[in-house]
Amino acid sequence: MANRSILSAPPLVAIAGWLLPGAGYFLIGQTARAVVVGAAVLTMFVAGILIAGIRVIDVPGYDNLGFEVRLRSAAMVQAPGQYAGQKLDWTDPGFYQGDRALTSRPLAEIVNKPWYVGQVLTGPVCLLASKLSLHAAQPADIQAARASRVPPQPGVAASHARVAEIGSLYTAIAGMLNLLAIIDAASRASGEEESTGRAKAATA
Amino acid sequence: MFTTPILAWTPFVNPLPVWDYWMLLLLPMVGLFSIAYKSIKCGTMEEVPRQALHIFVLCLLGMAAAAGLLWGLVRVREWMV
Repeated sequence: MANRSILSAPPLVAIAGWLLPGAGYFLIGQTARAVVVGAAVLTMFVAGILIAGIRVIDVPGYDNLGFEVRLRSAAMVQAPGQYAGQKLDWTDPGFYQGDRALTSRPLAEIVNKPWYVGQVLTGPVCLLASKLSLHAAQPADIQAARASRVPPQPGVAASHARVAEIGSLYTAIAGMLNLLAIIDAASRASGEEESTGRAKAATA
Repeated sequence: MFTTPILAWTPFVNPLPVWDYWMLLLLPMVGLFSIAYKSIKCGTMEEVPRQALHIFVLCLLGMAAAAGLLWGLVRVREWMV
């Protein structure tokens, strides 16, 4: 019983709900709800990727070729025409000395790719999909792309138009539903704690 | 009609070749949304199927009404110009 109350602590329920959609309900003993919500959220997320392709997961801080967006730092400004905050090309020799866009201007990066906020609420499955998306985006032959004067093409092109929109909707709605499930499960867990506390106080 | 895109299609990598039927993809989305949403909101799971069906129909009617309204607005705009 003591273990049960530790497992159904609201913060733990919320974390479990993010780690695996529906797991929050499982911890508070609502197995049927856990299975239905978890299956619906995960099916929706996977269906979004099936519809629009893996590149529907557009990760902030990374460009169309799956490389980190790096910005010229103040120390790297050495010639006319260069300025701090300028986007560096991934073929630039000083690329890795540049500031990471995701840490130096996180809000701008997230505003550029707002769907990701919804998508990441689905949990680690989205982080795995992000990794696969970035891997798919990189040019097939990076060395040839680096040597070539022709602008490199992504390994897998991102989808466009209606199909991309529907895929983004599926994946983002899955995440937002999971957020609702996390809040609801945590709220039910806290209600359960309160009622247990009241029952104990009444019997004392 | 599907021959060429399907030959080049890799599931989960390339977009689904349903360019002409994208609107049908809204049906499973609304269905899954209704089930998940009502599973969260309902007090008991026995209520979920009926409630989910109710909200599923309402969502579809709402989307059809919004589409009709927007279509009408476009027509009025075209008529004015």
